[in-house]
Amino acid sequence: MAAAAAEATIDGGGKMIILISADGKRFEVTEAVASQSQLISNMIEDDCTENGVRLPNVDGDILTMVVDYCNMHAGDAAADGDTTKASSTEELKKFDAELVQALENPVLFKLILAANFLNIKSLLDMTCQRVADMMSGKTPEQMRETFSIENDFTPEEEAAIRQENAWAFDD
Amino acid sequence: MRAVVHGKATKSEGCARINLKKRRSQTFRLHRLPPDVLRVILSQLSFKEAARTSIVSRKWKRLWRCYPKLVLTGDMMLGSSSNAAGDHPTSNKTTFIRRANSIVRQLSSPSANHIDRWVSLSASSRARRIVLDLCPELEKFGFVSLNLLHQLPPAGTNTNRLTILKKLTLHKVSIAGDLQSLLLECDALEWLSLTFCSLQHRDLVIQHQQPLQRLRHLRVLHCRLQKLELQAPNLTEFEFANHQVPLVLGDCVNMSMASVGLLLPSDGFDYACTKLPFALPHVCDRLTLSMAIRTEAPLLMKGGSMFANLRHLILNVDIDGCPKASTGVLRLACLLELAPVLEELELHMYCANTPFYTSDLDAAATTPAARLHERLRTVYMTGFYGIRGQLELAHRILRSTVALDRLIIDPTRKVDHDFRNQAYAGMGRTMATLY
Repeated sequence: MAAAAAEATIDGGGKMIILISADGKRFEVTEAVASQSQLISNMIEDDCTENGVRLPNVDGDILTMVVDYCNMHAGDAAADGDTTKASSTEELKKFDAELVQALENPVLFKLILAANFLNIKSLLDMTCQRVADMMSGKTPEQMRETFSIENDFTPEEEAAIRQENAWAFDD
Repeated sequence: MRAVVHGKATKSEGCARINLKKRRSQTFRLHRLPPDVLRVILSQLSFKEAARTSIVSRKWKRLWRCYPKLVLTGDMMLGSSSNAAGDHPTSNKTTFIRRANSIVRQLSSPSANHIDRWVSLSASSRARRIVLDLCPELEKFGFVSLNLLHQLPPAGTNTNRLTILKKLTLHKVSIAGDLQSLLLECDALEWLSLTFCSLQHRDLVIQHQQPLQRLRHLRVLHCRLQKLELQAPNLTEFEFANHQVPLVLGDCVNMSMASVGLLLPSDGFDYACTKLPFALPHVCDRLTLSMAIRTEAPLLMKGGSMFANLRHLILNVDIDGCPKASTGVLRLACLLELAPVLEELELHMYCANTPFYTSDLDAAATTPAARLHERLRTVYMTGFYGIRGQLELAHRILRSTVALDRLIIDPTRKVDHDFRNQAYAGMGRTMATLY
């Protein structure tokens, strides 16, 4: 069944590929969409996507976001010289901004993990940038608070690091 | 293949996650992301902010050390402490070095001298671009002395770390050590620029046996060389500002543009006429020549090599000497005879003396050249006050060309001021070292 679906084609879209999340949800996408993942692109090249691609690290809800993202960006690389591109670039930016802004931290981090695993550079950069924006301008104490990081240094160790990198802390 | 490797890297973590999925979905935290990903995040912060994360927790302590772009500036490294130190330059310098050392020590292997350590870090991390700007307010300070050449591995040792160096720019650097040997190590060097540097042995000589095959652009300005001799057969652009010294570049058949500035005040015409055609016989697209000439120099044509392919000649000329004499200026017409296919001449003149007008022209001015110019279409003369030499030169050019479209005469001075300023500054430095 999966194999049959994987062989199917839609108009102009080329071969279809089935992605299967950790919790068994199935997503049918075109090769062009799936190829934005370097991981899957390599698998397509190696011809091992026929029975669907199992992604044991990626939950269905995260994979939904990833597939949405890839669907939105599928035209990106292909459509140079497209007259509608200017407006679609705007749309994409809006879509991307809304995608990351709305996420709770744990979901954002899982999305990062998925982007890293699937090797989708643009998604990884965008989600990492979101975290970087959240870190920027914060003191170490505020960073620990924001990201629930436990301070496992002794006061002496902390003082030694501050001393060693004094330039980074003195303003 | 890459997909398999990639999958493996995160597989164990993936399995663990599935087992703990329910609990972790509530508490999945930033620091559970793999270090590689955390480094991507840190790379999107400023270097300073990234370094601050060293104190967040043990896991974070070392992450920032992989920051991809290392830029250490005085502003960043000294911050508010530079005010606290009362802006005392020496203490700021010490603080900068101490702090940069501390960073570099954390980032790299131990080594001796600090600049050596910075350079060897850059080399060992295969940096594509290394900039050491040690005195950003350059004009206020003197030279920087750089001894980085000592730390290079002697030729023949296993790994030569400079084989990937493509571009080397040294500005106001006092180079102790053997630059020649350094350059011979740089097989891939395409661009070499030495400006206002002082070399230990005033000569820059690269032996015939080992040409710099890849070198395309060479710039040596105001380094007070006594000799420049190297084999760079593929050189396409050459810039040189120096006194009149022996100049050998090998047979650079692809030379497109050259610029030679002969430091004032001595008359540069003979050198330009006899030595340069030997050094730059193939220059084709543009030759810029800046020099001083004296009006009373005799009109003697010296034969020899030619600029056989040159199409565009730009002359920046400082005219000095007795205002009544003209032969010195008229000589410039002889330069044209060395460039048989010249199409365009720009002649920017600067006369230091009060003009002396006369309608009595030298016989040579009204005699056409033995061989008429067939290609010269445009002549543009600026700084034209109508002094005798200039009038004679204009006459001579008019009579010696057959294809001239335009002869533009412009009284405004357009001599390259930067050249003049630098040239006089160079003279001042020479005087200062002499006395």
